Amino acid sequence: MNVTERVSAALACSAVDRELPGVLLFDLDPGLIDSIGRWLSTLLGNSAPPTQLGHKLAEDTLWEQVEPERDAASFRLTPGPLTEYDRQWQRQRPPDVIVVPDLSLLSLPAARAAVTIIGSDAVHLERFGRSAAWRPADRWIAALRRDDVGQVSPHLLDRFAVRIDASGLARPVLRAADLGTFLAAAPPEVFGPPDAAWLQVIREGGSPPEFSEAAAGRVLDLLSSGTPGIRRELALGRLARALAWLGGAAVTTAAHVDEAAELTGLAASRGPAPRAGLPASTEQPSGSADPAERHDAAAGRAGAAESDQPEAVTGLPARGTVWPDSGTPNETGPGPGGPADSGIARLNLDQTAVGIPAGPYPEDKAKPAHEADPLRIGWPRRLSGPPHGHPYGTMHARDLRDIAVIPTLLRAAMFQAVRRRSGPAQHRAGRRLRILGADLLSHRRARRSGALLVLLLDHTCREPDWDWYVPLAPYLRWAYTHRAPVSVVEVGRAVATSRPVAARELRAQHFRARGLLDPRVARALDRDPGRATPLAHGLALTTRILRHDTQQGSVAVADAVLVVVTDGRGNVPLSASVTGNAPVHAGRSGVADALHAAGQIKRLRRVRRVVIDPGPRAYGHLTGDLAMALDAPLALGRPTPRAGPAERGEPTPPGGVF
Amino acid sequence: MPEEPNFPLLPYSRIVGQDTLRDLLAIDYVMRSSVGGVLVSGDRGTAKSTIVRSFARMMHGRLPVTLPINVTDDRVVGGWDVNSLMLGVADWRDGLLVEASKSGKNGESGMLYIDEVNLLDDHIVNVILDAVSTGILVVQRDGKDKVPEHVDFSLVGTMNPDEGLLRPQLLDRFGFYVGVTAEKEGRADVRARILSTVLRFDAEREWPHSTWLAEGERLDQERCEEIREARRRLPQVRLTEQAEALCGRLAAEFQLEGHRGEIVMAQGARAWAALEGRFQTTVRDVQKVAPHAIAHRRKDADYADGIGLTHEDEARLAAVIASARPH
Repeated sequence: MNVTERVSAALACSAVDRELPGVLLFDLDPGLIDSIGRWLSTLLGNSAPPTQLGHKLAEDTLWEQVEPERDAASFRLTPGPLTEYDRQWQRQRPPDVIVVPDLSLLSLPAARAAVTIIGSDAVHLERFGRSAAWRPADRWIAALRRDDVGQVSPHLLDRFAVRIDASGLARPVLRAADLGTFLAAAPPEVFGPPDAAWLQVIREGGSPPEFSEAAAGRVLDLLSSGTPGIRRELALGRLARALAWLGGAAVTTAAHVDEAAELTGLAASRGPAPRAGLPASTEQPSGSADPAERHDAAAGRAGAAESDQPEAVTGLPARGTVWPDSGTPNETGPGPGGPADSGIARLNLDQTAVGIPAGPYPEDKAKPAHEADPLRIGWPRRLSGPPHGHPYGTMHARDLRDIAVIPTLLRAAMFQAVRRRSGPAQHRAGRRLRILGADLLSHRRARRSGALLVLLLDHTCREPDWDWYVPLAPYLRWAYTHRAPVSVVEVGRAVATSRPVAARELRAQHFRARGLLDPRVARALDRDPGRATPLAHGLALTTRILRHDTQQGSVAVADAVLVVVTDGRGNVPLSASVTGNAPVHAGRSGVADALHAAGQIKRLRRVRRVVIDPGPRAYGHLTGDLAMALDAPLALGRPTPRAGPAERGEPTPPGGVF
Repeated sequence: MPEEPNFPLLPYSRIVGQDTLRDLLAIDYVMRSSVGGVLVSGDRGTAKSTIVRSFARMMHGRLPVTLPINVTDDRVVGGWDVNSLMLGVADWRDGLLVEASKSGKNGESGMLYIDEVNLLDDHIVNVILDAVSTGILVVQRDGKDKVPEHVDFSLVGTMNPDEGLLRPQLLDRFGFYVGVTAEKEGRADVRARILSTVLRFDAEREWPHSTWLAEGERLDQERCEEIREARRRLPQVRLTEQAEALCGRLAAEFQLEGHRGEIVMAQGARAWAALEGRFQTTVRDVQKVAPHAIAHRRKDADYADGIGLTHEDEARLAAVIASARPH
């Protein structure tokens, strides 16, 4: 099955079964996503263009918008692109298609919205006096590079049930004769018109085919790896059922499951699987451009299969695309005009080289590179863009952003009698409120600190006679005076367990405190040391926290201070922390992983860093190595006779240390 | 708001597995207590939301009043109706806290459900805590000075711990905590039954006269009546001295802050006895609810990986319970 067939079949499955609303296309050229979205819209019978979600969307824009009325004398609330409620009340309005060109760059509000919408039984909207609930039907298509998978919240990834490798997909190459048309108009669509038979099945709707026991057994065979939840099994089962549905079968068989596994790459990632009845793309009459002819050919095969073996696929015709005069593109052997010849999209990454598995769930093995708690709203301070912080009052609006709707309406209401008496004739009739620019009020929002203190505390480096409050005091004082929130990452804390090594010991823990006075901070500073030192995990966690808080869209912290207290002797490799399995022999990998993670922090902007050395000991150079990797000054945690004020750990403002 | 659209939900009685969560939802309903509520934490795709919604529909005849993460504070506490205001009419619209309080059948208090509760904005959490901790909602905003109103509902939240935990104040407001783990649902036979049930539901709900769904609803009616009967029986269920002492010992053993932990344990034990048709609590009743009243109130429960009982905690729990059994 080539990439064109894979993607078009997956989209058709999503169109026919509303329980498959999310399609994730790995390594898709983002420039193609609009065309693909339009094609899915056509399948759904919707002529509206797809809605594109990007990285600058605010929550208000997603759910509802304030628009001026035509007469410019009043305003109205209109639904945002994600609010299906109003659209569903319009009779027989088909679902919309929402496209995300790069899932790793999706804005935080949009990502949070996606998690609550895709695959949900019910979506609730409760904003600014508006209350609505609906059963979502919109379809989502997102593109994501495989090597960016670690940057996306697993929670969000999980919402995309259909995962397809789309590398190599491209627009068709036109013949020289069509070049003039191409230059005069838009570029050609990725897919030709959808197949009529598919359209008929999708429009008819109805009930999906029955799911046989053999199919259920096959699903569990393919996904017996003990994954959390049952969502992957359901996704594979539903995909198989949709394939059967599109092929006109009354029952979903094990062969349909195999076909679905091949479509998603699951079969390839798990090794060879039985191929009963799988339609091989090489069997397609690739030169045929007539959909009816191809449909007949496929139906003929299906009929033969039915008569020979009951469990065979009853027909997934490779009918996603009609390629004008260019034949069906085939990624393994592109003919003239195939996508590989087009030169438009060549994103077929060498997956072996980047070390990312080619199956549908690369997040299982990808190293997490996303922020800590990626879907939570961080500790924000506005640098640009819409204001943040919760509203505590109103002020006269300077622009149309962040309008306080209710206070504006109440203010306008006071003047209605006067305006109706003295305003233009067209304003005197009717009951609608007349709002003038002078009425507009915007929210006055609480200020939030733009500072952040991140403490990485390695409890295992703390000798009983060492009071680390002394070297930490200036940083704690700085956090207090700036009212900075504090993120604490704890490495090597004691865990009450009698087992040899508990998984929790192999991981660092972290929490966020709203300020220094949160009692958890003091408790963390007084914690007993444990047995393992997962320093690499602690630094990786710190990277995610800092990345989240300093880079998250327009709500980033402006001044973050990272204080690392450690002796640098990490003895838990990062892989052991991630898997929770104690290493048989750690060697130097714990230290090496820590230095690598420190190098990631070094590249972050707006982060000031310092490493506090716990004092003389064996392998004392490791703290210096870590400071170099972080590009951070090294402060001595214990006073020495000839040390300067900073090195003696005396109270010095952070600015003086850096 | 126009009438609620048709939300086809899997009948509660057709749901496979997750027995602990289902028991706790029933206990919470029977308790009808201001210290109740259930926090459900678990992996993705473990049907947390489905179970809560189906339970609410079975018991209250409607979806739970849901507080989504997109909520603004005027919808939490109440505010002016925007569309009416646009037409020059001032209509006050109650918020979700009041709606939840009135959403039960026959005037009973209902459920306030917060999906992805750990993604809720801090500001909204503060607003909820204010009302939940006192049971009184005071609203003075946008020129409105509302008479303080009593609010009473069961607070149920679901969350995925991958996205962070809750603030201790909010954690403590949930009577029970239940962790939905992959291991418990990892058995092949359970997975097979879940798979076939959900896929069948996909198909059946497209049939207007599905006998499978009708049978599920009939079973729901029966189960609903059983739970209601337990609630009616609750006032007659006696908390024995032995069970009462055990609740206190467990709270002391795990150094629970405040007294909400042991109160929840005692009320939960009575509710479980009522659900089992008994009029007197036993040690087993306390054993049933204790882990879920303790887990999120332990010291350090607000840390990552902190919620839930360790093996050592379970051993301590078992030891205290064993010491309370009659010899």
